[in-house]
Amino acid sequence: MATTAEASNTTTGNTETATGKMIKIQSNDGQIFEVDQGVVEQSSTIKTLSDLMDVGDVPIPLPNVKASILGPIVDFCNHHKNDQKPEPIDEDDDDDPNKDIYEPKRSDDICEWDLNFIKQFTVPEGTLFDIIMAANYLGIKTLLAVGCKTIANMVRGKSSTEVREMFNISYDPPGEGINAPNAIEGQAGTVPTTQDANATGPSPQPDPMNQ
Amino acid sequence: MMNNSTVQLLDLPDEMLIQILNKLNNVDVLYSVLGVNKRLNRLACDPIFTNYLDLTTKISKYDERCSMSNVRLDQFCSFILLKIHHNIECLVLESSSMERILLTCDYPKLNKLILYSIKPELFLNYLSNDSSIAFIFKQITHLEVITIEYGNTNSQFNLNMNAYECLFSVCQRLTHLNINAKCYRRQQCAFPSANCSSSILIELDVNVDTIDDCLRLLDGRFNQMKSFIVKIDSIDAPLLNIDNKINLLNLTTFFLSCSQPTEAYDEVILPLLRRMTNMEKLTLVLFVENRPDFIDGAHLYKEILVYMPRRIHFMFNIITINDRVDISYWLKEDDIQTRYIIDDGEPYIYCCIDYFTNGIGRCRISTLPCIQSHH
Repeated sequence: MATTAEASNTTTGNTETATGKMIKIQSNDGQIFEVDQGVVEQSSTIKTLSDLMDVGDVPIPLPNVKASILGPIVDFCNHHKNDQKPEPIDEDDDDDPNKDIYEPKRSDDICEWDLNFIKQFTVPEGTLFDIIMAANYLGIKTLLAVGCKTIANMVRGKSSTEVREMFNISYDPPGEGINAPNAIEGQAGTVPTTQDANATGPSPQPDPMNQ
Repeated sequence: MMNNSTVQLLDLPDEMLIQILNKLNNVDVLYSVLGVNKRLNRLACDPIFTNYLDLTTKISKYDERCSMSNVRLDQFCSFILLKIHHNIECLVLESSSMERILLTCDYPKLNKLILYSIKPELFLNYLSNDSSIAFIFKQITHLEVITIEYGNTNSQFNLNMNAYECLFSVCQRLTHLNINAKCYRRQQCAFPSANCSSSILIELDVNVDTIDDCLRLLDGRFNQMKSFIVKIDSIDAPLLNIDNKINLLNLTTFFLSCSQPTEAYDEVILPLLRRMTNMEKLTLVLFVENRPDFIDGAHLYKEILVYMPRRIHFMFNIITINDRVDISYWLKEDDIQTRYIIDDGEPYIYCCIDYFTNGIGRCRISTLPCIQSHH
């Protein structure tokens, strides 16, 4: 049986008249959240679904997100719903083909609230990746950027060995290796196997470049 | 309470891993990710992370650069560059590490070099025949050299006649050249001699000392040049008899700024601009003094733009100062915004006229981006 968790907003205390139509969304484990248009506008997925479906009082199912992730996401969107809308060309959009490649990429511009928000999700528990995947599925660009920048910040400056340890990555994880698509065709084997000179972790392993 | 998850980094799809890597500079991606595992190697070796590498460390707001740390440099020279050298199209280097990096492997696609904090003498040595890296300069098409020698006039960038001649002699594929000597006091930075020429140079961005140097560059030696960006220290009446009448038919982009006030606007700058009949993008940053009339919108139209029949993107920040301003000037309407001087969708033009009690008048006319850049 579904339970309802009303998404409260202490800053605005919005009612239906102030924020427009309230919409219900449902996590894959059955929990229902009621959100206003300010939240809906931040999620391209929810917005599309609510536009397409005349949902009425029926909750929109979000089969890829569980309640323990969806709840914080609603909090995130409630916090940011009054933010100024970004320019059409989002400065965070590093995938923009017109972006100047010489322009330094940034990941140090996460605001304090977002930094504290993202701290509740961790790598060992896997929840940091849950929130990123959920943000991607729900089409919440700002949250996706915060998640990606957080991981980028964890990676920056680390050696490959440290990265491997931090994310518990083996040299030849399941699904990789010889069955993987041609990894770096034409590059492997051109140079002798070289070990990471700065490796501080485990003893030398086969060079994954040349497998 | 948040439940634990079994999701790991490698459970993310490639597109999302790329989004994460996109938050890092290419050098950080390669240093931290290359060698982790095969899948991440494949992503890190993508041209988007390997075609442009900045192998320097910025150490001041004035663009001074030093080498990356020894640990990183060793890692790049002993491992990373060997894996991705065939993808590299552009390298950003500084003097202390550039030779080692360029000699680490061959770079078949390298076409652009950006060199920071290069001592002039060293740069010239690299161009010499017995230089171990001269072959790199022979293959590149784009070269940017940024030198900073604050306050040290003895070692400031002094590219003399022979140096430029040598540059174009060695860099025979050069189409884009940007040489900026960022220093407080420059010595002669002349660009003379008929021997210094190129028939393939398309874009030139330089600082020069005098209008003679500027006119030399437009005397036909770079006859295919389309874009010319020149920062002149001072514009006075030319000392040399350099032709300032030949039409510059290929030139479509021109940026002119002058550090010092000039009185030679009508004598030198207007004739120069009227040679540019195919101009498409023009930027003028000038401080004109002792001119009988203000340079206003009507002037820009009648004296410059009518000589440039193509649709033109015109940016300017021009200040005129004069102490003989006719009071009837005030009866004129500011007609600049009704004229078609700027038609790029953002005709934000600022025009301000001050009339001081000592009789001096000052007019500043500017497009908004120019105002912002100068504040």
